[in-house]
This record gives sequence, structure tokens and C-alpha cells, in this order.
Amino acid sequence: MRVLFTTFPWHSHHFPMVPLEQACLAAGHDVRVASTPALQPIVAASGLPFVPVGHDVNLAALSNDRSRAAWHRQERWPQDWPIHPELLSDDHFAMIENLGRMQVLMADAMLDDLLDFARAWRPDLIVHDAVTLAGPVVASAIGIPSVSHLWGTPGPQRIEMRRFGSEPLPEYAALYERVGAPLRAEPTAWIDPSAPGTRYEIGPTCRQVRYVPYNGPGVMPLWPLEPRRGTRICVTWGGTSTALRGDAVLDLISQCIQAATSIADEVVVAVTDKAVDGLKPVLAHEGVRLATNLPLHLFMGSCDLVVHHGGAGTSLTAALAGVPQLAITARPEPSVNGARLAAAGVAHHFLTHEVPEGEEGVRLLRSEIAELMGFPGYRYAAKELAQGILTQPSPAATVAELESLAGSDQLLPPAFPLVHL
Amino acid sequence: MRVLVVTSPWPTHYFVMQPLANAFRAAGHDVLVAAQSSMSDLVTRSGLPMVDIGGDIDLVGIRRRTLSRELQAREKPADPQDSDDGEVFDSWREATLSNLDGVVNFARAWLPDLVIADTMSPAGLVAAQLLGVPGIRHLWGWDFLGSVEGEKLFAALPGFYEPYERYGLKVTGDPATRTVDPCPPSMQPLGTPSRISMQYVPYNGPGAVPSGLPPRTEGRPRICLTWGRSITRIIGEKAFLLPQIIRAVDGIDADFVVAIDPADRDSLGELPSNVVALDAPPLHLLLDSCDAIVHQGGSGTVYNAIRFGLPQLAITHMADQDNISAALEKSGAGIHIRGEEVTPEAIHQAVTRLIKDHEIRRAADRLRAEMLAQPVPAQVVMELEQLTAAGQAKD
Repeated sequence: MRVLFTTFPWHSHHFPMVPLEQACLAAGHDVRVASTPALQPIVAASGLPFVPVGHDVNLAALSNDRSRAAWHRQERWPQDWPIHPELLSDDHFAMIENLGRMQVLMADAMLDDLLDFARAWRPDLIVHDAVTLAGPVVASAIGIPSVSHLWGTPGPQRIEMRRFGSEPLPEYAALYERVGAPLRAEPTAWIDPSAPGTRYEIGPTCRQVRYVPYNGPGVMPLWPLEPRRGTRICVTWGGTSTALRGDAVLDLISQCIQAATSIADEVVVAVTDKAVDGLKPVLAHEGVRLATNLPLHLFMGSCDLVVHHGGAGTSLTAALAGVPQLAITARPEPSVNGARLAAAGVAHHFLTHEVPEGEEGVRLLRSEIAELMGFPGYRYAAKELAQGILTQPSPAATVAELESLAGSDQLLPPAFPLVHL
Repeated sequence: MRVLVVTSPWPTHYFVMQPLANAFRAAGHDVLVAAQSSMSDLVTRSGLPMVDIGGDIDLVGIRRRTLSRELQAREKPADPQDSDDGEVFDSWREATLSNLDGVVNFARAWLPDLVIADTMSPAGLVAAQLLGVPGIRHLWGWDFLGSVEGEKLFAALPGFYEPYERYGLKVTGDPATRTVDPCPPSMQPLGTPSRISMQYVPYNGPGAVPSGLPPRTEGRPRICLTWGRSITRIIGEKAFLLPQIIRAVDGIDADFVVAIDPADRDSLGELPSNVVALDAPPLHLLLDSCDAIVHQGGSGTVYNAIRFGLPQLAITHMADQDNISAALEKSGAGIHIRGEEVTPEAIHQAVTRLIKDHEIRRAADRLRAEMLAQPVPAQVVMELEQLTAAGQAKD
């Protein structure tokens, strides 16, 4: 079987698909990973064969343009909004549809090359990141199944559909018209790596898969295996947050590090190289261990608590390691992770603007951290969440599902058994 | 479970092991690749995390020192009692002992449930024995140790048990619990019952589908020309045959694609109009649009070509290349010429046969079918999971 994977060029949307890509290879299938040229170093560094398609679009700039900037500073959205669109206002949907149109621009930049490649390579199946809209368009154009792969945040994230409903945004529908393909309003199947206990049910076409962490390349250090000299907290802020919000997050990370060092014997700070410069004063604090370019899963299990920005990869890596979490989120999408982890009893969740500036904020964070560390209920709940993840079918087991989807178009079973009466 | 994969510093050995390591990851296991720091770029960019176990083995340097002995040994079967061959085995000892403590110490801290080790990394098997967990040898090519004949070698090889003795382990027979072999079985010497056959799945390092490949002309064959780097690093530039091969195929009605390291591009000089040079893409991303291949006889390259059903010409310089390439020729799917016997006429004739001789093509199809019938890495993972669980149940 030939499986074409595709994502828009963002590392945190490639990472969650890596284990399934590896699993397809391990089952002897042929795999290609297509994105715009900007993603080549990230895909190549994950050991997978890359296909450059289309041209790059400056997503960080698009994401911060005036109409979308509000996405980064939102009040709390209604509870369970991903599955209760009726609770959302016109303003909420204006923002969501803006994101949808941004992804249409991205898809537009990828579409022609992706279609050419698919026509030449003839995949049996396309697996696409859930908001990478060129995927279903190309699958429809060449008449093969398309599988929508979620990146770990609970809920289906149908930003290309009007009010999460069955009617596509006109710009999305126009992509199908451009290549003369019938509109595909629903993927053939979904793949959802979110954790049972935090996920939202998506429906009968959804295949749940065990989250297997891939957090980029790295060399395992020896310190996580050595006996600890007391308690250990990890403070980490993802590449996406730092790239999209820049210096705005540095003050908050500093506050978190200050609060953590006042409680734990050791604080592991895992941030991007770029963030390190802006954090120099707090990094000098005694007990701080800097861990740049280190995949989180290589040391997460040695921590008592992780303080983070609510990214799906971080949330799930911590969940799998059975570690309680403090999530401080800005955008509505990571806020879903924080809210769901809190509802599962493994985390406390704040929005960034709920943390006051300066010493007052540090005091708040310190009392939150103290409670999460001191009350054993969080750790029990975290272990339970981790056990739940381990009960899910592995990526290797999920390959069989892909095989049957790929075969289903050529070999339809009879609707009823043929019985001679 | 935790799976420790111990690789030697030969990149091509790691490439052949990567698919099984990858398959353990895909099944949800914790995987770490133990390697020396010279391998860190290669390993971390393969989708798997690495642990640096120290050591600084210069395999190329070691083989350069023992080259003349090795080349003499090609003329007759190796005899460990022979003092000349003994020198070669000494170098093998040197190569395998230097990271022994590093591997053992890390394994004692991380406590893997299963260890997989390259043939050149017995440290992994020592660690497995010390921890009482299965230790799996992973072959990179033609096998002498895991064969029925090879079993007799264990006791005879000077220093073979030394790594075990250093840790007070008394071992007799094969120290590996199983041997995983990605070679089509018909090409290997008869294996012992502990050999597990596994389908070769291509991994040739990171990269993108080749750009700059001209569209194929209908009915006109395309032939890949490639040459491994290890061989010239050991033997020297005289073993870099690509320029001669390109001259020798002049006049053959086919298109040629040279997969070459950008650093070596200039050594090819001006290319004829039917020859294109590409900056070495991962080989399997190129081979799916080729009809035949000419190469240096490295087992990884041989396996890649088998996977795509390509007739092959192997021109070899070292004993391990000789062995796999002789087996390939015996299968009917390829032609083997030893480097010192090669002539332009012989290359020209052989390449012509690759594209004209239906027997070679049929044999290549058969060999490909045999490979595709071997259990995939995902299935081998299940077998090794059961083996590990059975061992734990006994404890």
C-alpha cells in the first residue's frame, strides 16, 4: 500500500503523525510526507521521506494579522465548545472562520503540486493533518479515501465548515471547484490520538490511536536516570507559542520558573534556544537545569509536575508519563487541552491574562504549584490517565485499519450475504 | 517495554537496523539507540532518540590497518588459527570492546526488557546476559555467525567470548537469544533455528524525493549508478569506480542516473547527455523509477535493489561485499565482478545483460517476491514481544 501523508508546514502538526508514518513503514508500506519546502528539515530530521509541494506562506504573520490577533487573547470560551457549537457567538465563529480561511490560503499554495505528485505516485490513501485542507481536496480529485489525523487536542476542529456544521466555507468549496473534484465534506475516517478521559467523541468513523510521543530529534541525557536530590518540576513552553507570541510569553515563563524554584529542589526549563536569551536572569537561579532541544518524553517521567502552555504534544507527553500539570494557555485551542486536563483531575488551568503581572502572579503560581504537588489526588488521576492511553490501539495496530480503508474502494463487500434459499 | 538498540559506528549497519527499531516505536515501546557520538546526527535524524555510550571507534581506520590481510583473506576461507587472519580478528576485538563498559553501564541504569545489537556490537549481548533479558543479534548482510557452519566458529574465534568473560559471564555456543536476518533466506547459508527472517524495509537516511530527475522516456531503460563511501575511505580512490563505469557504459541505449555525494560530483567530470548526476537522495526514493542498478556490493544496496526487483551488477573489493554479491549472482538476479578483475568490456557486457536478459529480470522478480513474503518488521516485533514476555513469565 502507498500512503501519502500531508500537513501544512508546522512542526507540531507533523510530530503527532510521525508514529503512524513509522508504523506504515514497519508494516512494509510505502510512505511519503508532503508539505511546503519550509518543513523539509523537520520531516527529514524525523527520518521520513519528504516531498516538497507548493510554496511557503508566512503563517506566523498571517496568524498575527489584525483580524486574527484576537485569537491570542481570548476570555474563556463556553465549556465544551468544540462539541457544542450552539454555545458559540458570532464573534467566536468570526475568529474560527478566519482561521479556516488562513488554512484555505495554505491549501491553495500546496494544492497543484500535491495533486501532481499524487497523480504520479498513485497513493492508495491520503492521511492529512485535520486542518491541512489540500489533503481531502486531492483525495477527492483522484478518488481515494482520506483520513483526517487530529493532533491531540480533543474535538474535530472543523474550521473549514461554517459554524462547525455541514456547509463548507465558500473559499474551501472553491478549492474543489478549482481542480474539478466533488466536495468531500467528511473524511473517510478520523484518527484521534488524544487521551481517553479528555477526548470528545467524534463518531463511528473515528479510530482512536495510542499517543506515542515524537518530540523531535535528540540525545537522551543521563540525569533523568540518576537518583533525584528532591522534587523536580519541568517548566516548558512550546515552539508554537514562542514563535507566534514572541517576547509576550517570556515574562510569564519567568514567573513560572520563579514560582517553581521557590518550591522544588530542581526545575528543568525546556524552552527554545530563542527563549533562552530572554530568560537569562531566572535561569541563573540555583536548581535550574536548562534542557534545550531535548525531546520532552526522554525526561518527563522523572518530574513531579510540568508547567506548560497547553500545547497538545506537551499535554499528551505529560499525560502518558503520568505527571500532574499546570497549564497556562492563551489561544482557545490549547485552552481546550488545559480545560479537559483540569476536568480529568490531573491539572489546574489558567488563561494567561488570569495570571497577574510581577510578584502577585508568582505568588498565585506558587500556591497552585504547591497544591498540585502536595495533594496526591492529582498524581493518582494522572496515573489513571496514563493507563487509559496505554489501553488504546498502538499506531502499529492502527495500520490494519488503514489497510482495510485503502482496500474498501476496490473491493466492496456485498451489502447482504448471498444466501440461496 | 524498553528496547535498547545497540549499533556499531558503521552507518550502513544502522540503516539496516533502523526499520526494526522504528517498528518497536510504532508498536508503542520505549526505544533508545545506543551509539557513539560520531553517530549522533545519523541516529537522531532517523526518527529515534539516541543515547551516547562513549567510545570512539574508528572502524575505517581499523580496517585500513588490516586491509592487506583482509584482502589476502579473500583468496581463501578465513582461518582464525592462522596468525595472519588472527590479526584481522584482533582488530575486530579492538572495534567491539571499546564501548563495552558504556553500553553495560547504561543498560544497568535504564534496565531494558530487550536488547538488539548489531553483529559488530557484542556489548549489547553482554548487557542482555547481565540483565537476564533476551539479546538479539541483528545482521546487516551475509551471515557466517548465525549459520550452521558458523556455530563452530564461536569457540575458535580468538577473543569472541572475551567481552562476556570480562563481566564474569560463562557463555558457550551462541550468546544471542535470536538472530534477526533481513536477507532473503535463499541467499544465506543455512541458518540455525534461532534465526528470525525479517523482510528488508528500506531506510537510507533522511531526505526528500529526488528533484532534477528528468521525465522517463517510454520504452527506454533507466539505470542507477551508485557507489558507497566506506569502500573508498578504506581502500582509497582507486576503488572509486564510478568514472570508469560511466565511460564503460558509453554507447548503451539507456538513461543513467548517478546517485552521488555532492562532494564527489566534480570527480565525474563532464557527463554524456544520457547521464544525470543527482545529489545522493535516499536510494529507495530513486530506485522506484529505475530498471537496473550498478553498485559496489554493499548489502544495504543489494537489499534495496532486491526490494524493487532490479537486476544488479555488483563490483566488489572486500570480503563482505564478495559474499553477498556472490549469493546475489547465484540467485540469478545479478552479476558479480570482483574489483581487481573488472574491465570496461566486462562492465559494458554486464550492463547490457541487465537490461536485455529476461532470465536476470525474472530472477530479480522471484527474489523480490521472496523478500516481500518475509515477515515485516511489525510482525517480528510481535514475535520478540512474545519471546520477552515468555522470559519474564519464567522469572
